[in-house]
Amino acid sequence: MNSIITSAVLGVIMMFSGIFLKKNSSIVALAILSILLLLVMAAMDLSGYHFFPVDTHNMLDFEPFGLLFNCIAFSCTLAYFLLNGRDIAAIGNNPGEYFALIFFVLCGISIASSFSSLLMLFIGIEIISIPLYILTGSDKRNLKSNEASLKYFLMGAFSTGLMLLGIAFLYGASDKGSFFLEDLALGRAAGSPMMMTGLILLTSSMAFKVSAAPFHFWTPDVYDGAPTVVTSFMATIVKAGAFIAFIRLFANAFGDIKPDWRIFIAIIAVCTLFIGNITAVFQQSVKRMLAYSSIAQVGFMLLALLTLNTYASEGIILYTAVYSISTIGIFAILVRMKDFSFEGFNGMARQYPVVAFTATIFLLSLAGIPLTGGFLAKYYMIASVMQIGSWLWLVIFALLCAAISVYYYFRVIQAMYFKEGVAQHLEISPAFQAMLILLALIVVLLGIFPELLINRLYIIYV
Amino acid sequence: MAGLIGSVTILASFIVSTAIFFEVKQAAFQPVTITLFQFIHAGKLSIPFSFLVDPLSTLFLLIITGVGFLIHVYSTAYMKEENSADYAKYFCYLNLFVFSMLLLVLGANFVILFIGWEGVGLCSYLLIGYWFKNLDYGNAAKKAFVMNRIGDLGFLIAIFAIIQQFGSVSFEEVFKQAPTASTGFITCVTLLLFIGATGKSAQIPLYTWLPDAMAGPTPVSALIHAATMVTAGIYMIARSHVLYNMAPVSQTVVAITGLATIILAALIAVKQNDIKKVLAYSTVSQLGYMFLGLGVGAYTEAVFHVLTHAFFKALLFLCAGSVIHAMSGEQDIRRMGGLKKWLPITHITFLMGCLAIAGIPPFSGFFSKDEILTAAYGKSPVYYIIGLVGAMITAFYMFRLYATTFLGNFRGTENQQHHLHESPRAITIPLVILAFLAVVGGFLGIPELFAKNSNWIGNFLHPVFSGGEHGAESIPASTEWMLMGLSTVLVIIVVLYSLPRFSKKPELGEPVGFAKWMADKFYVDEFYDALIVRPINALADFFNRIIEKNVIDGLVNGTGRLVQYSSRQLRYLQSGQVGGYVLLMVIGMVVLFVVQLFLRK
Amino acid sequence: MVPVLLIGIPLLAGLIGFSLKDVAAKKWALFASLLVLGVSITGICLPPSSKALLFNTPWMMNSLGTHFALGMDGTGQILCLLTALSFPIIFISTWKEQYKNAKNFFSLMLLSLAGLLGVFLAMDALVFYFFWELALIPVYFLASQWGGERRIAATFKFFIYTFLGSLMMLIGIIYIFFQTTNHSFSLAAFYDAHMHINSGTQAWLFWLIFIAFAVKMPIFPFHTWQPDTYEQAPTAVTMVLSGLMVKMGVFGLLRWLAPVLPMGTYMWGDTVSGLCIIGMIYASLIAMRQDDLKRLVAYSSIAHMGLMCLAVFATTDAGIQGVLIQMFNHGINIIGLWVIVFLIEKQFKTRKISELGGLAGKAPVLTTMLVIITLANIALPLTNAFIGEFLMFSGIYSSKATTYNVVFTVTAAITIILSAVYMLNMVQRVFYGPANARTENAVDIGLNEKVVLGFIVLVILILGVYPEPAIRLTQTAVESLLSKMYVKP
Repeated sequence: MNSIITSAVLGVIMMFSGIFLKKNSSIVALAILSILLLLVMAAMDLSGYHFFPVDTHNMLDFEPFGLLFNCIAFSCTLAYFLLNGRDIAAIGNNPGEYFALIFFVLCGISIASSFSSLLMLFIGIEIISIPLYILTGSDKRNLKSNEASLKYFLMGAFSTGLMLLGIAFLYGASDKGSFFLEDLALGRAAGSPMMMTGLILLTSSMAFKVSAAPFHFWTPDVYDGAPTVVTSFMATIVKAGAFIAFIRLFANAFGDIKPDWRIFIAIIAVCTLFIGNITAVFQQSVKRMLAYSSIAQVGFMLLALLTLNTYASEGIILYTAVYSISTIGIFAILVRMKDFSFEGFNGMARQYPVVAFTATIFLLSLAGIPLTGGFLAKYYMIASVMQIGSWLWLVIFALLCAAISVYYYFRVIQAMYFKEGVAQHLEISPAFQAMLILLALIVVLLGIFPELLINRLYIIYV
Repeated sequence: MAGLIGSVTILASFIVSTAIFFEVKQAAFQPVTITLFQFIHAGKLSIPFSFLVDPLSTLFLLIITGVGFLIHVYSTAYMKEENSADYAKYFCYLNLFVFSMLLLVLGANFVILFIGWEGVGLCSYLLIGYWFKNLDYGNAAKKAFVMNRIGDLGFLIAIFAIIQQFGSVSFEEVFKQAPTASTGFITCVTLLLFIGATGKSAQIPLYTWLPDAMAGPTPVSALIHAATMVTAGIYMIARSHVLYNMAPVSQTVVAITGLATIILAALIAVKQNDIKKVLAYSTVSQLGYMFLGLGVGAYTEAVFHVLTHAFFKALLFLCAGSVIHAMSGEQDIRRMGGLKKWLPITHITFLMGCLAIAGIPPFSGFFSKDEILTAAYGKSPVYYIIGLVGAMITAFYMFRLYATTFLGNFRGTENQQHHLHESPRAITIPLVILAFLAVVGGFLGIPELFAKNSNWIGNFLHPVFSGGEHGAESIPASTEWMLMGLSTVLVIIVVLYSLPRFSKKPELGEPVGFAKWMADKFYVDEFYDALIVRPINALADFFNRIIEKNVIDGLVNGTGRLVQYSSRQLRYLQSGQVGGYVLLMVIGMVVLFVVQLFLRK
Repeated sequence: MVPVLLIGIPLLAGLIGFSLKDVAAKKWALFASLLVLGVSITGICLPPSSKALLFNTPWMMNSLGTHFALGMDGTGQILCLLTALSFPIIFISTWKEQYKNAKNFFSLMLLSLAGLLGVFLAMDALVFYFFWELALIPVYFLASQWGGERRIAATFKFFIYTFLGSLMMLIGIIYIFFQTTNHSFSLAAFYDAHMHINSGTQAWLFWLIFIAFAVKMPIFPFHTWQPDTYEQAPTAVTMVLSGLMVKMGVFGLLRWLAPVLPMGTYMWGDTVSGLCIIGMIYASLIAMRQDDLKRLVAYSSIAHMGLMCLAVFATTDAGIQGVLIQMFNHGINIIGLWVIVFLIEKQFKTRKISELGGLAGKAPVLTTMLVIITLANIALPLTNAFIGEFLMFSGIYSSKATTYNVVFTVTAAITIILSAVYMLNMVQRVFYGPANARTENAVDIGLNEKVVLGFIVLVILILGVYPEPAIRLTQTAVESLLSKMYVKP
């Protein structure tokens, strides 16, 4: 509860901060302070200090999994602010609002990470989406940005419709006529056509939110059009949040009838892996490549949704954390660049060794090379599928795609290290570099000692 | 300096060998095996690095070190012109050769034998290519090595078979267990061993390297490619005679190969004009006699012929060397003639050699060759007749060579004539010694029918080959006398015919018809080239150009390209039109519903 | 403790190296590699039972069930020795080479050293996989930063190729992991796992794991990355690749496949052996037509590795004994060949055989060394390679794992002839014959090259005449391996 309320309040504060604070830097400072506060609150929550005893009538259910994810999401946001705070403020002429919107999104995430009723899911997802429509279009003078925003809104509306329809079906199907997850797939309702219809509709809309194929088409355009800083936020924290909601939904509602829906998830996962990886190969702009790579990564996360075992829950926590950190790192560098093409990275290793090195770590992690968190994240996904057995072909397919992904991630590394060329100028502060190094360290650390993160799942305070 | 060291060391080992010899000569002597250390072992298999001393190996010791020493001395003079580094290298190789050869004959198991076997091959490679600046010599060296390797392959596989069958490679063990193995197995092994022998001892089909090997310095040709190395094959078969006695099929194969080689090589020799080439082919054909002997089970005779052949062939080569030396590098006999005026010693010794190899009594060649022929008769008269024909051709071409070289009048250039001179002591002394041996060497093995157990070598080797011999005893003395007489008479006729003919008008023109075939070595090299070398190269090219680049690597790169291509195609889904996206999403959902529908069934 | 030192020293030294001056880095790397050599020799001198050779601590226990387990047993020992021996040789022989930002070069070299040693020491499947990849990454960076002009494409192909292979292996490892009793990655658990995996499963599982090793060795037809990579990589890296990294394949086969999936290995024995033999002859034939020294050595290496793989599948004591010894010998010999190729290229600025010739007159020492190493490469008796190949061949011949043992031996043995052909061709065309314009004023090798090559030649001859030490070192390993592999009764 802490994080929901705090984030909402902080959002409001940030909204008005523009009136009192004139200088961008001070607004950024405020934002960083507030996200720190939010992080502390979430951590307290996780450690069992609940400051807001609100009776949610079991509409929300705070369990370590969700709370831990909140912490991850907030710390990623913190890193995001520290790296790109300046750039966020620089999008347009009313910086306070952008931060405010981001905080509202975080609020939505913290609802979506602990809902136990479809209504809450809906609210959470919407609270996440609506600010994003605005953020996408926040670069007002840029046509691409506006177009992206509109596209996103139109299709988002469509998926919202789907979600409502799905919820309605499920409600109708359930015996008691309830929105609570645990009542959905019981008794006659279990596997009834009506319920399955609802499930498919809900699945589709959630797939849309996490941009899984074939509901991913908005992603490349929107990510490409939106201001790069915003893309960074959408591609990482938001996506992760939506995915956690996805997991929660299936784990708590349909966990007992896995056989009925696994095939759908499998199909979606295969499409996502295939389209994401294959299409990324041909991209000429790193930004767009990262958009597709984010799709590809979702393909891997979907494996956790397929299995829903311990490996899955542990793995998805690790995955979201590592993936978000790595991607934020890359984007942070990308934001500072003028030229997003692969050639833009040529010869970077010589001019900016630190940047190049950390970027390499992030890319290796995204490609899933051992000793980086990315490897273990993928490893957990595979292991979870192997554990339930009989889906070996899916694993092999996923790993073939992983091999393909190496191709486009390494193109950047090759450009930075092996290709001759004069790197474009980036203004890089020592603090920025230090932050990058810190993130890289975290990525590597999670690659060697994942339990640092995962064990938090099992520490339960009362 | 290097020459001195080289020669002295060999002399030392010769002395040691003599000591051993007197040891072995005692009647009470039993073969001894000395084990130095464990060489290779894995699981049950264990191969010690051990030596075997018995009459057979002792005899070879004497030949190798004795002749070897003489040739070292000879070389000190012959290689004088070389610069000091190469000179040293030469003697280093030569000593390495003697080492390997001794290893070969002393080895107490097949593996040590094989080590020496490869070792001598290596040295012959190094020495043939000694003048490395000349690429043809290099090719000759390579040819020798590769052809030997082909043979070695057979040898190796034989060893593996022996290991698998008997779990050991030591002669003692293997021969003890041999009766337990099936005849088929023994036949295979012996044939494989024989393949090895054909490689090393230049028999059909692997003989073509030996004539080319004459590219090496002449002393090398004398030592390696006449006296010692090429007899390794004979030694190996004689050593494993136990196995051969159990495999009559292999024996026949050996005998027939020997016969074929005798005739073929002899015919080629008739038309060669390079003095060394003639001797080379005569070596091949003499080796053929030895194999004939082995084939008919006359091991003692074969070894005896090795001995005498070592004497007279080394002698002939050294004489040839002396001639070439005098002719300042000229090897073509058509440009020689009448040399006896300038090279008296060389001339006399060479004549001795010719008489010996032709088998004129009482020169050494007569005894050894004749005993082999008699033994062959014991097996089958056909063998004898072919062998006899071979002997006649031998006499013919040897005296053709002799006459063309030493008789008649000089046909070389003024310059050469001006240079003509008898060679220095270091060269002539070995010649004389060898000539003496070539003359008297035969008395070591006087046939039984001349005088009762006067066949010293027979008695000496008896412990080794006891129970080995067949054939020779089985024919009556009268027949033996008759055969001996017949062969002697025929050979002498041939000699009397060819001597005047070639001293009067040596054939200088280009040969025609069948003679052309003989002169061109029956085109065997060309045949091999067309049949084996070129196809293999073509195949390799095909692999290199087509398969590797296009097929296999093509597949690999193709996969990459396929991904690229599909990526380019998939891009078009990303049309940028919201309507299109929504449509695709709907299709996606429909698919899910359809799947759901089918799952219900 | 020893294994930790073995991996830790180069790892730390490598990381420190990044912060050094370029000039210092070279000496630093040499020092570190010598230190590693010292440690590995101590490790070998210690009694096999000694606790110091083992290291085991829980790692990522919560759900992965893996231990950071290292151990130095016979199979590992000889390869550790080879690795530890090779790096100083590589550093000294390429001492004169000037790399731009050398500190990164040498640091990466040390990191790859750590990775290699890790592979040979790992006693836990996941740890093995970690190091398997870690050995690859630095080499990839080395090759594609300091290599020839087509380096990026060539090494990237190599990287993706091997990476794909190892991903498949990962699946296999995880699958076996789930079959082990009380889910564990430890070697012991893996050795017991086959009891719970029926032969049908082993059949396909085999290929999942084998593919990684097949690519690494490489086995025909997975070999096409090799010539390009060897050609493009800087020679020092090529030495690592061909001398050590290819051994990872054979090693993996010996420790992580043949004993773990005995039935699978047995079932596919003939198929793989067939591939090996095709590859051996194929590679030898292609080697005959190469004009580039590096490519020639690369193809000859393919042929040799094929023989080792063949001998593994023969599952006989002689065969495996031979493989273990030959892995060491081949490493030494091929590094020797590379040293010579390096010297030639450095002096004459070309690797084209057709552009060289007549060196023998100009550089007698170099020639002598080369001839000896060449003879070792074609396994002439009294050189180290003869011991290995003899044992391997006799093992293959007496193999009970296949009914085609004789056919295999004979066809494989053809390469003995072919190898003589192409190696002697090379010797002749590079060193014999008249000197040409390029080689006119060639000079002989310097002192440190003499030292290195002399050392290599010494090893070749000593192990060729008295292989006992190597045999005794690996004997126990052979027995234990064989006891775990499946041989038809």
